[in-house]
Amino acid sequence: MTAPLLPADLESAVDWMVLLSSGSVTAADRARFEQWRLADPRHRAAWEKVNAAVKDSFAALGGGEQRLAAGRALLTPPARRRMLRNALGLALAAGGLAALVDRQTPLRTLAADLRTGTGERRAYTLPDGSELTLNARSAVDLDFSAGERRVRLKAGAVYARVAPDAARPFIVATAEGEVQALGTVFSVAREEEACVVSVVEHLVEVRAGGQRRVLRAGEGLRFDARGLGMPDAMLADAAAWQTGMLVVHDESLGAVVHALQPYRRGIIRITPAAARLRVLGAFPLDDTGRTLESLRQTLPIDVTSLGGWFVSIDLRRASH
Amino acid sequence: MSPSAQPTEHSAAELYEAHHSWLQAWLRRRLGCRHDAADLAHDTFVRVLAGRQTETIREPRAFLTTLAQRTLFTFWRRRELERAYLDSLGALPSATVASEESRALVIEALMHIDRALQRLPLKARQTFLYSQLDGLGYAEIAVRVGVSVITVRRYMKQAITLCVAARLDA
Repeated sequence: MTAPLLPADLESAVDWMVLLSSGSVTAADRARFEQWRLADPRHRAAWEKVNAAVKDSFAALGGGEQRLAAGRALLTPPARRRMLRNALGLALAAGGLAALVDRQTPLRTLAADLRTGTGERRAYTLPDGSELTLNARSAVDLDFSAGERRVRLKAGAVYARVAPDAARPFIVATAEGEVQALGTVFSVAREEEACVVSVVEHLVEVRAGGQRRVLRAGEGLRFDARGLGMPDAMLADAAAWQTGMLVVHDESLGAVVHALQPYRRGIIRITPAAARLRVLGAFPLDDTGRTLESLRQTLPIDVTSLGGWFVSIDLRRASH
Repeated sequence: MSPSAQPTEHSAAELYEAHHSWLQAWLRRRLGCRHDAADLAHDTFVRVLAGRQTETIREPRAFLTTLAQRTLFTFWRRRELERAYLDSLGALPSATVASEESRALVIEALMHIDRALQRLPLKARQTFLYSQLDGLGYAEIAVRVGVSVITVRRYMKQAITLCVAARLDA
């Protein structure tokens, strides 16, 4: 199960609640918790919110035996839910078949997050007819109103084929800035503290840090909260993930591993020295085993796998 | 840039007029009860109105069916929880007779928690309820559920996160 993404303060508060509910809390734990709580009014507010979310849910169940009876009812497995959820899940997974999804995607999806799991790339048809593909481990909120169509990219990357609607601009927004379609196919990918936009067809306008710029097909640029980088044709290939490929021109091996990680259930660890190696090429995202093998053949690295779940990459030792 | 086909205009009233009896018949085939079908058709249209996006619906019947399935699911799930709750109340040694009204409130609360935890696997649900309702520590829960303490922690984090997320959505 992928848990929803919470704002950082709330997530910390959740972590504290997990710790404090363990039944084996030490005095030191309590002291550290108090220290965290009092360090910032936002921490206090987050703690209260998390506490209330959990306590209020159960308060209405009453007390004593009645409460336990109610709790036992919650363990009743849903008899029909599985079936319905699967029907809906299948319809969404078939996202490439735009017509089918158009028929099956409830408009309620508009109010909900779209998200993808590890190794999962999915196309959604939005009710305005636009197609949105989410890269693996990506999350977006849709905020469509009469005045605009806003896609909030919370994690990962999206590839948008926008249905024209002059009255409602189509915008992909991130924490760092926003990208507005000017009749268009484009991709926006989040990195650690920056984003990369790549234009495949037509034009987009990118806005960040008080700057704005129109990009055309075949161009890409990197932007962060401080502003826009220079347009760079190399970055246009960053959108290749949509076709299942990772295309890099002189990228660091660290960045390549970062791009592969959402497609791999296990962890890939890379030493800083190996991460600095430069890579050029096109690699399949859906077969990370093959990609790691071809990296091993072309670069001076050792790739060690432990049970398939943990892969370690280091510079090849001299004896080889 | 080619001009897109304009979606058909539907006001909620037109939608109701054109499809209400069809939807009611559809629900009736699934429920086998006319009264329930009428109630659920009503609930489905309440959902349509709450969505306030009727003008962009392209396939009204597919759309209504999707919403009606959710309504059906909620209906069945409420019934399941209600039955399970009444069964476990009945099994109590000192059977307290709760009033109709307080029972309805408890079932509402159960639906609320159930919805928040909908995506949680059964073992994670058990973990969270042992912690919240029985006040057990993680070591004890780990033994009862048959998982490691680390997994108990992970389950707890998932469950609490879902409760918080449900509240943020509300």
